Amino acid sequence: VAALDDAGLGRSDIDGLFNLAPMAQPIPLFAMSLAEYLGIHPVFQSSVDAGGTWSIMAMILNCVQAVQSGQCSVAVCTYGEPFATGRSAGGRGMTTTAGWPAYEAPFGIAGAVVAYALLASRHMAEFGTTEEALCAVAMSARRHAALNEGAFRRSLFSEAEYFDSRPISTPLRLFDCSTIVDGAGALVVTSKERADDLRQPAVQVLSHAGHMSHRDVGQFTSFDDLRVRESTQMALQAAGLSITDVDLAVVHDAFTISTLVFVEEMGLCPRGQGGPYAQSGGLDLGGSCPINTHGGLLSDGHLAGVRHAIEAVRQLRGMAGTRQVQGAEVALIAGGGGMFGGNAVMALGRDR
Amino acid sequence: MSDDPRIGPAEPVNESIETLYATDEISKPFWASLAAGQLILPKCGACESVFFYPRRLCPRCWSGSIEWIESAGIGTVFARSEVHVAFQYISEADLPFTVGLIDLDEGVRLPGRFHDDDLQIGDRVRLRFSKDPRYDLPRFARYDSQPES
Repeated sequence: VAALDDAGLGRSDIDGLFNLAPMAQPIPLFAMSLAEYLGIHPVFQSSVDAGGTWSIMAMILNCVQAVQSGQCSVAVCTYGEPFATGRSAGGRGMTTTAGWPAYEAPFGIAGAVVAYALLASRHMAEFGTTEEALCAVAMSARRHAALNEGAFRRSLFSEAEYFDSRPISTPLRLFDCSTIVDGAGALVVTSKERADDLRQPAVQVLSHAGHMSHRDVGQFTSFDDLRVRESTQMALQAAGLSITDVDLAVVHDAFTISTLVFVEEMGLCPRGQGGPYAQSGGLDLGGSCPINTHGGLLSDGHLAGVRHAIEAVRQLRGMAGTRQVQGAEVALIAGGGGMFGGNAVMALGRDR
Repeated sequence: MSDDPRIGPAEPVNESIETLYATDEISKPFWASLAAGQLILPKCGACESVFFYPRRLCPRCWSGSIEWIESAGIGTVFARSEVHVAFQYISEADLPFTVGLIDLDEGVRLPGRFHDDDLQIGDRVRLRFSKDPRYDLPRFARYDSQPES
């Protein structure tokens, strides 16, 4: 409703609806349930589950293609759920194996955190990445969140406090993990012609490229095989851009290690150098390409990247307040889900 | 130790690993074999690739002709983590425990808990079964021998 109000549209304008179904307690037919609950009757609707931040990119893409092909004229993509409080007692965190033969959980590789911890251990062994580098990612996200009134965790912490936070799955500590929250977000997608008549300046979807490499962490092969590098290049090329044209990026940071891998694979620094890059302020506002200016999943809160997309839109509209990246014209969304196995990159641009 | 009610102690486990973990006819031989003190891996009858986890078809060539081979359970640590939170199947009494991904010499990557908690990435390991493999999953122990090449 807030997204429609912001655009100057009402419920009767929506004729397309895409959503990511709740993950804590899955609901079949969720898009239909949501439409019925809202009392709307879209002519095009579906639930999407591409994994993590790839889901919001997939929803946006679905909307763009539905509008372009004339299936609908105003589409909403949305996700929200009581992710923190809505889990069943048997849920025990996000085990991600329900309904699928599990070969890892019996051995103790159950929560997502263990999977990402294993990948972090690998990154450290291959590239010499340090715990101090992971700390730098967590602290940068928190500094950005401190500038974002909507962020869940906003109080700054010191490196000593980071190292005092309890171990969850080494090398990851509590402060390396995203903040699980209850919440929701929505974006409105329509044609350029329609958008020109609306209340807010529009943001253009320029391009998208992705690659699915694996689901279970045991099927991970190498950081190279995530093909985030190729996806980034394809997305930039399709938009006629290079990485130096990118003014900011929002990356899926379910755990600190993810941010390091994304800045490396997106080409902001050489592979393996994400740690030194983060420690020298490369992620921060004021740098050439600030990362997760809203605080990311780490500090703003984990809503599967929907708020990443919203942050990119706010920045490109010049409406990010004290955390505004001056003159932001191009933003990248990079991310994926599962156990780092499906990753995509989407370029957004300020409408000109 | 967690004050989070969603991460509580697991139910007491008195079932065999086969009963606990086998979810279908495809996964059953794998768990039954571990319960009998032996590690087996699926191998494609057509392209001969060994893969993990068990599937109805070969993920490399899509042949449905799947055989099982016995594995020596010897490999190299690819990744490791010391886990301090009890998720699915793990009881709080077990915390912390060490877990990793192991590159077996047969060419597949296997998840497994460590018998020797100080194992590091690159260390050689060998799967070690307990006295009663029906109820305890095997764990990887240090193995001081170089890979045959």
